[in-house]
Amino acid sequence: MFRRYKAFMKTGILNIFAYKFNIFSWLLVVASSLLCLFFLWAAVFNNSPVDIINGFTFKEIISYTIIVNIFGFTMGGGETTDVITDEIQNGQIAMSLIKPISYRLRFVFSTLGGLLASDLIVGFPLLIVSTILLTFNGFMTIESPANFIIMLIFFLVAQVIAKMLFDVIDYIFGLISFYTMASFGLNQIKEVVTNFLSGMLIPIAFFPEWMANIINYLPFVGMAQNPALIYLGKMSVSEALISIGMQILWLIILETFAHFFYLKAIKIVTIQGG
Amino acid sequence: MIEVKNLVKQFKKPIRGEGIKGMVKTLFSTKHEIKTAVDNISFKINEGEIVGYIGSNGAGKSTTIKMMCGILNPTSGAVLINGLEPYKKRRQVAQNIGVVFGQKTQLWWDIQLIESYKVLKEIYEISDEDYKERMDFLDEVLGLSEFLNQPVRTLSLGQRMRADLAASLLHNPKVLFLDEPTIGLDVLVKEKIRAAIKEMNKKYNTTVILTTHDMADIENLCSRIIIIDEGHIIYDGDLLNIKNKFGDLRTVTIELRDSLDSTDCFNTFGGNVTYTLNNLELTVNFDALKVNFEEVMNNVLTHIHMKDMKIKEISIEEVVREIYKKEEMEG
Repeated sequence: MFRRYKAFMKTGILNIFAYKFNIFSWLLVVASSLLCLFFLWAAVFNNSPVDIINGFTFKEIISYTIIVNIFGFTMGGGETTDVITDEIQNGQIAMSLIKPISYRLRFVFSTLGGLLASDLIVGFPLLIVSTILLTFNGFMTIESPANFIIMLIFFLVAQVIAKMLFDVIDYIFGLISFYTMASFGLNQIKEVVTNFLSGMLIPIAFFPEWMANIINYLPFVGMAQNPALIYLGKMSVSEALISIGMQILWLIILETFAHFFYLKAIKIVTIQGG
Repeated sequence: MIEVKNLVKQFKKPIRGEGIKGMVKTLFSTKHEIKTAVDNISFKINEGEIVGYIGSNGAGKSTTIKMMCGILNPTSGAVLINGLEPYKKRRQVAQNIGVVFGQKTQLWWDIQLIESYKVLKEIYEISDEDYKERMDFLDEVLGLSEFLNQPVRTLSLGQRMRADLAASLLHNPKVLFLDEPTIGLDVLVKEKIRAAIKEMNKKYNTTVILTTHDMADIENLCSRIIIIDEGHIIYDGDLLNIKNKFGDLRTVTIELRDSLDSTDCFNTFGGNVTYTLNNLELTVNFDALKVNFEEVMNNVLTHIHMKDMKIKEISIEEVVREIYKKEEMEG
């Protein structure tokens, strides 16, 4: 059944390798922004009377920022919103719809292909290097190797679900263009929302309490913050399991919503041109 | 078999004002106008038929084709392709149809043509043997091998159309929809494309529905034509019968030896024959089904001395033009 989609996974992988330059430019951007964040957090903690702010020590917040940013890159491998808005605008969607494949699954596979490829060539090497550096410099402590391995497995699972969450949100934003017929900065809105609510910029604990209480139940925390907290050992086993459970629940909810949204949107779709 | 039953498609369009003021108004207005692109059409197409679906620009051809391929939802009515409604069972139907839109490509722009075919092989789950057999056949009729290893973006329009046609036939569809497949092509490529369609139809009994503005396509390929205008079907039938229905119009051009002062000397056959005189050239128009050819010619020739004469039968293109004119006058 999945044979039909193999090609899309391959295309996703090839895309990542085709745009090698993107990887280098991203590394440059992320390195400089990490440097800024380092000094920013240093200033915050130096001027604070306490050593722990919102449950994070200086070392922990630096580790968190690094791990979450490695995520940020691997998320860049998906381009579902762009592809859908493009197809809608130039009418190329007709060519997608005449093929005997599910419009949704095609994106799931190409995104997973792209994200796994970027994990393999950038994500994991960076994760390993930064873990070694952070541990060596005392920023990260691995108390028991057994616990670390359990958390690593949880993290890998959470990481894959995070990507699927990321793609379904990407897809839903793409479907909006069925109605607007234009991207209208859909991508920018999506990026701001996900960066802000996923804890990519700062951990959700730094938000006002009432806001954090809400955000922690939204799907976005499952895309960056929670997997990072699992990796850093900031969650207990039961907390990690609950977090993964929440991710799966949201994935089911969002995919179901996306499915019905698609069925509704496809009815009004007007194929542009010719 | 294809069945179209009382098919209607309406588009809702916001009423747009002109200029900046109008644009702002449009943003806040909820006024829509309803445009009916396809208005209650019905027809049946049997397996193995090649049907020309023709009409002027904006007549509703492409809209019908899009509903038949399952990428547009009808407002009411139904399309059945082998018993299935394509917009409801899109994936199932897609496995059995091939589509070429002359203005778009289904090939992947940046990769080699052969790679696109390999992707399609996976998407349609074509077996290795079938793939090989089909590729050999398509290469033979369309001459693909000369550009099989080029990226699609480097192909000329003619090559790309041949490649696209091959892509739509790779999975041996039962029904092939061609929306202006020969648009912008030179005569040689057009002939290749027509030959491939004929060959495919003969070999695999593929049903073909073809829209075109090129009457040579119709005359070469189609045994049956459906003419649509402003969303209505105005003719559905045999290519030969169309002449019976809309007249077997003849034009006789006669080069005169001596100049004539007027055409009054001819018997007018009660308005069934029209004469136009331009210096030494006399043109006689009439419908050979309404008046006797011999009588008309006898009448004309008794009054003049001629140098040369040409007789022209009406082409299908002119018939269609006549139909449009008639519709316009009646409408």
